[in-house]
Amino acid sequence: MNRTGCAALIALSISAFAGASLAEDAASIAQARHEHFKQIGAAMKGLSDELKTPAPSLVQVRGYTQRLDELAPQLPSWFPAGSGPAAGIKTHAKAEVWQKPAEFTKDAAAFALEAHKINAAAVRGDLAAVAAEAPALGQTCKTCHMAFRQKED
Amino acid sequence: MPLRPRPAALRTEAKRAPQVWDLPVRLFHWLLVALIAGAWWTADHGQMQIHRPIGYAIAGLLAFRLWWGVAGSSTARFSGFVKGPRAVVRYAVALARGGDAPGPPGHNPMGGWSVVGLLSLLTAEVGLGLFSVDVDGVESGPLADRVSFEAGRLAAHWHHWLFNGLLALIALHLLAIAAYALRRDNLLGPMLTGRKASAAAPGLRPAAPWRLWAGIILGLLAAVALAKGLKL
Repeated sequence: MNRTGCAALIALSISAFAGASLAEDAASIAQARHEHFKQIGAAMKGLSDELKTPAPSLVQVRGYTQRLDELAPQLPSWFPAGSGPAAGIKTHAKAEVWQKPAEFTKDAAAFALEAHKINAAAVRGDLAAVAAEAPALGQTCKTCHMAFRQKED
Repeated sequence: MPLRPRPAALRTEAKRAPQVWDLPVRLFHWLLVALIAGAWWTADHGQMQIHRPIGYAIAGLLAFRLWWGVAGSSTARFSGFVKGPRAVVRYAVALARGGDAPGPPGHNPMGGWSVVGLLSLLTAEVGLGLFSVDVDGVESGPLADRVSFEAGRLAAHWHHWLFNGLLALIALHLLAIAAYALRRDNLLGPMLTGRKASAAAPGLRPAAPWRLWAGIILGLLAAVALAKGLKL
């Protein structure tokens, strides 16, 4: 094998290796993202379950809203470039997340704002305000999912 | 206002034809058709505040039907139409040979299993719906507060997939009705009028009225109890 061929082979194997590890990275990023969203879902469910009880516990409610307020601002950071469906990994994130970053950021910010508002109400101890805020919070999930999440079926 | 007399032919036909399905069975059937269609549409359009009550109504109907299957009129009872494999094979062979295989009024040995399949699948479908949670953790069934978010999501996935199974069985049901129609055996008419001219007389044995009332109360209680998440 001549020198050029040898170099080409080495370059090829390095790039193949790099490509494989990139895909692996994207997959692990998507997996971590999935776990984060599961935490959000669990907190949302916990909150709405608690609010449906005859006498919701403020301590419980606060635990959930605090968790949401912590997680919501981090959301955009879970979607680094190259972690979408284009990487050939299993994800429900639509390519639009990266194609329309302004809209995506806006929807994420709306969620963060509502999460913050509902947590502030919980911290104040105002359960009525928490309950009144809950539908708007849930709507931010739906709005963003409609535009940026693949419907599962 | 004088009552207009019905045409003689219609009157005697209606009188002569033995009754095969009582009113509760027919009402159950057609309410179910409407409710399943409604459940399908509301699920596809995210109308959960309507999808849930439809589910409770279906649960109530199922509770009624299970009761009617042990206490109702003769053709509604499981003991009358759930037959062993030998009877099913014998019926299938007779059918394949083009014979009429009339038998007693009510479900034939194959149709009986179709009923069992549909009722079982529907019961499982409603059961899963009770524990289902949507992806946002916002919308949920009335018993979902007893399970984790992950379990609720799993229930929702199965709820979704099992509906395809239900649709497949419904398609089979419609195909069977079409196949019988080709053999000049009308199954649709009797499900509307309750009567079938070719059925063996004297038709079904009706159940005592108290049994009907008991079933209606049972169905209502089941629907209300589930709607309240069994917290009464």
